[in-house]
Amino acid sequence: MIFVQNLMKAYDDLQRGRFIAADGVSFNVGEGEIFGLLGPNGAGKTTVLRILSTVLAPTSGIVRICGYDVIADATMVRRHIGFVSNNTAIYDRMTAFEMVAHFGRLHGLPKNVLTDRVDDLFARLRMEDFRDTPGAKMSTGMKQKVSIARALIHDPPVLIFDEATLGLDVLVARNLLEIVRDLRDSGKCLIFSTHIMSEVERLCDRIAIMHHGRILDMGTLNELQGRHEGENFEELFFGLLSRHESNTLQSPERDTAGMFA
Amino acid sequence: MISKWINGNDPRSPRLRPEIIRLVYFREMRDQLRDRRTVFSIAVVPLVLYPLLGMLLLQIAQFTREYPASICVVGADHLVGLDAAGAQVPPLQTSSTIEGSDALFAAGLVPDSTKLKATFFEWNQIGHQPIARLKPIESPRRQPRGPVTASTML
Repeated sequence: MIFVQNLMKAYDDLQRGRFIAADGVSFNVGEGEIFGLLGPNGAGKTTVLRILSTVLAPTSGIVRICGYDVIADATMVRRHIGFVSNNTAIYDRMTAFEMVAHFGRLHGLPKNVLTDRVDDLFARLRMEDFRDTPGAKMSTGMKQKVSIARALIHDPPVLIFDEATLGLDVLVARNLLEIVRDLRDSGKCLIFSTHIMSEVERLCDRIAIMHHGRILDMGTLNELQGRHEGENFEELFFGLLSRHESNTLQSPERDTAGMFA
Repeated sequence: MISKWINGNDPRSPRLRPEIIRLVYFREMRDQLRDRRTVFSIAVVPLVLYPLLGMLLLQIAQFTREYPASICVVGADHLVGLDAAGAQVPPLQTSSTIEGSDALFAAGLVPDSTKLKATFFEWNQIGHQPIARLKPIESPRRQPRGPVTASTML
């Protein structure tokens, strides 16, 4: 469903020079799979996800979602994805129902389908209690649920979660992870970026560890634990990053990604 | 899947559809009309505050406007020419005639003759008996405030 090959994104900064945010990123995500992008702040996770959602154009490389190219078929890509980020961007003066229905109309859903779809989503995400609550009066958890419902209204086969649990309390984050798991079970293809180890361990079928715009290693949790040392996943992650940092310092000409070249 | 619902699933049509523009426009309008501050600024301010401000400015303008002082001179016909002692009476108005009303005072008689509206009457016009003689004016005097008659200037 998601096919990324040798993706590169570079920014030209007048003051600081050329910055390479993603360098040779390649991965595939299939149906009914949760793919975790794990990395520290500034690793390039959000850049990759923005390219997948057609918001940013890649400098080079191939990115296809459901067979559609993000450059050539951007409209079709947008119709096949749902994007959830930690910035919920909820309208203050619209109720939860109005907001989800509005985005359904923007996606072109016919009226009869739209009503059934909104009712179904509100029941699945347990949102009936705040159906008529305006955005300004919603809690962060409510806003995140509305954001998920908005991303799911057109029933996309691919869902992108960009640090969606950031700033949520344990209860709401746990609820969100349950929703993500349910979506996986219903056959969706999910890509989930985070820098919280425990979420990745509990949720993701496969994990890619990113640093300085590159994927350092990729595989299932067991595969990664087999290849790298570490008492737990956090130690494994930290060790991998440290080794990469020391290699970069020893031969800086080999690695210019994630920094100014 | 979405494709089973959406009509016109044309992969090569990135143009903004009129329907989308309409939806976004009405959403924005509804959003603005739900904002009390916006409603106040587009409805209450023009309907209430602007007329009030207009009336206030009108009142201030009327209060600060300068009106010409109106001076009525009765019996000015007796000031023209020489008096019995042969002294020259200075001219009171710009023209030698005294028939015209709303005439201007002679130059030098008042600081700004345009701010003084003078109305001249002959003594006989208001039903008095003619005055036989008038005392001569020794020097031009400043115009006192308020209505002035010939008798106050003598």
